[in-house]
Amino acid sequence: MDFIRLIHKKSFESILHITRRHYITFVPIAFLFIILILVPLVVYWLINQLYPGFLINDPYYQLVILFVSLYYLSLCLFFYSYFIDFYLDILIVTNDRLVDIDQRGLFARTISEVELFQIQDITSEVEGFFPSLFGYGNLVIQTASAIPKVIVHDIPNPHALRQELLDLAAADKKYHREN
Amino acid sequence: MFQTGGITLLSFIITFIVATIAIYTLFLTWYFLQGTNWQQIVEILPNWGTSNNQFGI
Repeated sequence: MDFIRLIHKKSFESILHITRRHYITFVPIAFLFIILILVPLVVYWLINQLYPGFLINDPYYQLVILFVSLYYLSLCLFFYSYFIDFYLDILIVTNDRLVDIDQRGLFARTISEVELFQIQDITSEVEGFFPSLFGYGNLVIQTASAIPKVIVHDIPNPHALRQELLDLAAADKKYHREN
Repeated sequence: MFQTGGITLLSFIITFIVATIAIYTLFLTWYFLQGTNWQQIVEILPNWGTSNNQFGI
């Protein structure tokens, strides 16, 4: 992905971080996908055990094939939509601003942009067993811009990123005061 | 620097898997249904009353 073109990078700007959601948040969906793939095979086995020969007869055989085909194609669509949502949610931090790209489904995307000097307060949250174990959580950024609050979900190392964003915001505020 | 563009390989792998499953599903659908007579008459509830419960001609 061409991030420089995506955020219209300014000449003096340098990209410091490109952060996505923690990969572990995708694992439950991957497991669910694998289980849902196996469901028709289990159902087929069960029907064959209970009613032997039922699925071999016309027109049930054709109907079952069409239904299972539709099921698998729908499953692919559902899984890929979720993956696109996961993969294209990105937080980009430069030395001048913060760009939050929020993908919703296949065809909806919101891009929020906050100047670093407008950041007023940042809260990092790590709540729950798995977030604590794998070190991911939310970042809540309060700003003085038109977007009063930016929430970034499930990013890795939220505490470290909060500290670094606060340092960057302080440096940017100092720069704007002096110029 | 935190985790960044290293996830691109994951994107390729997921796209490849999903595309493979979708194409394989379409192929198997065609493969299992290629001998089907789509013009055949399908009887529903064949023993129900005396009416002719048929779809098709």
